[in-house]
Amino acid sequence: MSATLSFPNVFVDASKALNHDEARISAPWLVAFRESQLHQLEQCLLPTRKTEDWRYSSRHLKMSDAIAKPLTTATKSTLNNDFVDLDGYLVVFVNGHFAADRSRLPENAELTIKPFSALSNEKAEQVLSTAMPSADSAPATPPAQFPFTAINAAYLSDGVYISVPKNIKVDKPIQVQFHSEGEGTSAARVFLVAEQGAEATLIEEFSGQTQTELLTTSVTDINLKEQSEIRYIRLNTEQQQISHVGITSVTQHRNSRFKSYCIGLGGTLRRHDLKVKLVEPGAECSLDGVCVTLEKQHYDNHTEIEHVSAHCQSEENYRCIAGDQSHIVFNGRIMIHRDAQKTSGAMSNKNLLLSSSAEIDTKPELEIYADDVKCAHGTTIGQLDEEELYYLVTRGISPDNAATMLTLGFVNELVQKIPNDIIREKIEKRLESLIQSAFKEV
Amino acid sequence: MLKISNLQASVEGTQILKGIDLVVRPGEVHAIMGPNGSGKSTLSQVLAGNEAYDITGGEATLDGKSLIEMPTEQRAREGIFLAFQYPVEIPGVSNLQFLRTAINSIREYRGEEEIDAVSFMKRAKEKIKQVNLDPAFLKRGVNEGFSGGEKKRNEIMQMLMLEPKLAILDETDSGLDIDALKVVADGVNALRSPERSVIMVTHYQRLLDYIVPDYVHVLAKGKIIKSGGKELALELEEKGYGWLGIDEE
Ligand SMILES: Nc1ncnc2c1ncn2[C@@H]1O[C@H](COP(=O)(O)OP(=O)(O)O)[C@@H](O)[C@H]1O
Ligand SMILES: [Mg+2]
Repeated sequence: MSATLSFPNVFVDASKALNHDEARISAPWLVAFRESQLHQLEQCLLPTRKTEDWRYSSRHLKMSDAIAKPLTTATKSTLNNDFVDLDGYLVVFVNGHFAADRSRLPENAELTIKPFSALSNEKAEQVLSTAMPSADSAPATPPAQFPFTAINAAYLSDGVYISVPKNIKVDKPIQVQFHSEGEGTSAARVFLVAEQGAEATLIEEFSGQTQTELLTTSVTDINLKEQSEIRYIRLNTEQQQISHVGITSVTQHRNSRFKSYCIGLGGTLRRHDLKVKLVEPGAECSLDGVCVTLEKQHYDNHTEIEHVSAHCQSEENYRCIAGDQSHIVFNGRIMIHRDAQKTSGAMSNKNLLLSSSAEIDTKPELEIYADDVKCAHGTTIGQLDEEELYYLVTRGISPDNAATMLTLGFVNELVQKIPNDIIREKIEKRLESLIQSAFKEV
Repeated sequence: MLKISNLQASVEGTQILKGIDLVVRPGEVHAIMGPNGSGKSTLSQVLAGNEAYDITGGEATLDGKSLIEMPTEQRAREGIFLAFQYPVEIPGVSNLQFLRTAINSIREYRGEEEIDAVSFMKRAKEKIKQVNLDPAFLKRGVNEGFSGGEKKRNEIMQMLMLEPKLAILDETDSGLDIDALKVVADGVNALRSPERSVIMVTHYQRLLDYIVPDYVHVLAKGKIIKSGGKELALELEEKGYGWLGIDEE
């Protein structure tokens, strides 16, 4: 990796160049948006060990000049078979650029799924301004501490706008695939609004490979109006050399339900931030996460549940498995505002270390300003149970297989909850081969 | 089938088995009785291959193959099955997945093909009914949330699925009511054949009313101090262990 990097200048310059490159301007509003966000990026610093939010992960950051190149559409895209077609609505991005020929958009008025580049200027501006934190709701993480959202904004190539109209229950899954390859940074976004009483399943899959250096940035905004329900499955199967920093921000209104299933596999640098804001009474969220790292990989889960309103419920279950010399971070923040009385919150993070050189840093952060709340949290870090291993082996099962079964068993309960059979089976297979490889090499 | 000579074993430096001699021929059922702490579970675990125990002397062979250095899984594949006194719970691994992996591991060792899904399910359902457990248990985690009696019946269920050459039952009868006891006994009797052998570790004579042993041995302080026919069990029931010169704990 090239050593010197003047951050954020290289990124700022690259963004400016992008905006002057006639050949690469797909829509005027895109330029306006990127320009309007540049000042954020200009203030950014590269996180270090002393940046609280990056304490455990800054050492995995390997930002170089090469990575600062905004990715163009891959010319001969080798979209591999990492993706499975769920036979629902399909939105494909290659290097952050919408691939119309690979996508399958709805043909009725019941549901809007459109790439940003196909939106009118007004609509695009409206979408992007809603998605960007407004002045009165300052982002919990200042961009100076979290430069990747700013990079994504300054590099934004396209995105998808999904709107599920009032009382429409979309029975087919809405699948968004991000494929990256080559050298540089990709930047796309997802923006979803579920109107009152709407229901849908959103699946985000990330895949790709590189010979050099590649960074995927992703920003997803989900807005749940009254009584709506969104099931959100997120899966990254990118080749491990690819760095990936993504953020999902969710806002929930009255009686809405948000259920997420985030499957994180390790890589050079991997980070996913999931932020849920419960702003009106009766909103409920359940956040499940499964995270597996091997070799020298890394994965950082940052979750934040903000109980702004009274009478909301949140539940969180994250299970992490770290083998070899890999490293997992779980940072679970729950913030209960003063007015959020009758809040019920439960957070659990269980971790399994497969080797003595693996590392897991888990940190629950509770900030409770209301007095009438129930908020439970628990974290554990353990190893495979010798007695359980022995029991399996006395039935003729090899020690490798026994260890694989127990390790998969550790996350199985969460995996079984994934509400799409095809994706769940894909995840099961992927986890199985990963875990098998962890024990086979010994 | 099984030949044990002068077997000695210790755990954490304390010698528990102090020279066991035992020969079990094909088709035989042996009962091992003895007070608490005499080493019955230790003997069972040592035969199954629990690495927490160190074998400090003697020999044990199954069909002429030495067990001492044989890995635990290979012993199972050679046909040893231990029904645990205290089976562990394994949430997250379903009984079905567990049984299928076990059966296929054993079949692979024997150079046989994997069992097909249909006959596997058929057999699993049949055997679980045989031990009077709800077939819904097949989908649950191994022993997860099972009562003591259900765990014991699940051990028998596994035994029936795996059809071992040598089954070792470590106090499978303890804590069972009479109906469950009959289920266990029926299971063992169903497996009995001229090629298969059973070692039953038990505290009580009552199991032996249902599974009639060919031999009864008394284990005390790590040694077999008396062997006899099935009448020995009745005698123990009547007189306790005192007459053999052992303090009962
Ligand atoms: N894992 C172990 N660690 C320490 N001591 C043990 C262990 N297993 C057995 N023992 C000791 O060995 C002796 C025999 O135990 P065990 O074989 O369980 O007897 P039994 O099954 O006849 O009741 C007991 O004194 C017991 O405390
Ligand atoms: Mg015992």
